Amino acid sequence: MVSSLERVAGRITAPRGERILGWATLVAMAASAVMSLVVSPPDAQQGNAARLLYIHVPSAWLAYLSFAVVFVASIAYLATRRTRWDRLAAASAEVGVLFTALAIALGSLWGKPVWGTWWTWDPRITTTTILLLIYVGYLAVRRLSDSPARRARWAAVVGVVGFLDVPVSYLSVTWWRGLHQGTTIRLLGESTIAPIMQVALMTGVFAFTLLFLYLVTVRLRLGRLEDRAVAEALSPRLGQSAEALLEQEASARG
Amino acid sequence: MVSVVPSLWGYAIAGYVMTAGAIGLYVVALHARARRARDRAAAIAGRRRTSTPP
Repeated sequence: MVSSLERVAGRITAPRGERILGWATLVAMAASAVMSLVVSPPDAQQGNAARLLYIHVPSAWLAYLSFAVVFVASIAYLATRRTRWDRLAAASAEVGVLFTALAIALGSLWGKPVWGTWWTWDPRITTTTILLLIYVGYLAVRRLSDSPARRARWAAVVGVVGFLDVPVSYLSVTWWRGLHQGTTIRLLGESTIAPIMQVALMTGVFAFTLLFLYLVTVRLRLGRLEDRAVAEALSPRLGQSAEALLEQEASARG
Repeated sequence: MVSVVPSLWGYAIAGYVMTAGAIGLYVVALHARARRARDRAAAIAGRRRTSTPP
């Protein structure tokens, strides 16, 4: 299972795969922009400010998706001590921080015309801000140690524990009363959104998911190159791959 | 019929510009970092090759 996943990941992250993914993402993002800004009508009460829905929700979705990938990759790293899992977690966390910050900023921009304020300590906003701080901390932890193995181990622990805030943030609109609206699209039961708006939203979610794959692919390549530079500088043995050197260090340190 | 709902296009446009800017800047930064890392690895490998006796 893991090896077939790695084979698929290998194909996507190959230079040609990365280019194709980049173009597919660009086309999907353009389609999403047309759906959101041209096809979808303005909201009856919020006017055109409601169009922020089509980038705010996909940004929040990417934040959750990124941190779920960090969670899984961190567990996989702790179980196997393979460098590629740590690299995947680092790549995904960086993308997650960007989109969490974007979701908060877009929410603030939307809140001003709709709620009359840029900021309020609503449960969803507060738990999402905590999520952002946790993963900024995760990225900071990655800079604390010079040892790749120790850095990966500490980061993996934060990646696993930090994920606890994701379900809290998602369910906060159900658990506590606040200004933020509840779930709009339900997998089970009827959605409370007009069909054309739902199509525009789903197009956005799809485009942002492709964007996530593209960004993580490029970030993974960067991680491999950075590791290779470190291994080239440190390796006393010529002809050994960076991957092998880093994994040797990881297993030696337990 | 005259709409009583304000247009509020400004907020929507600001949001889309901010999103495009953030994603664009991140993609450019990622590619620049990858290029620098590749050059650094190649430079180190090159220095080692020239300093290692045959």
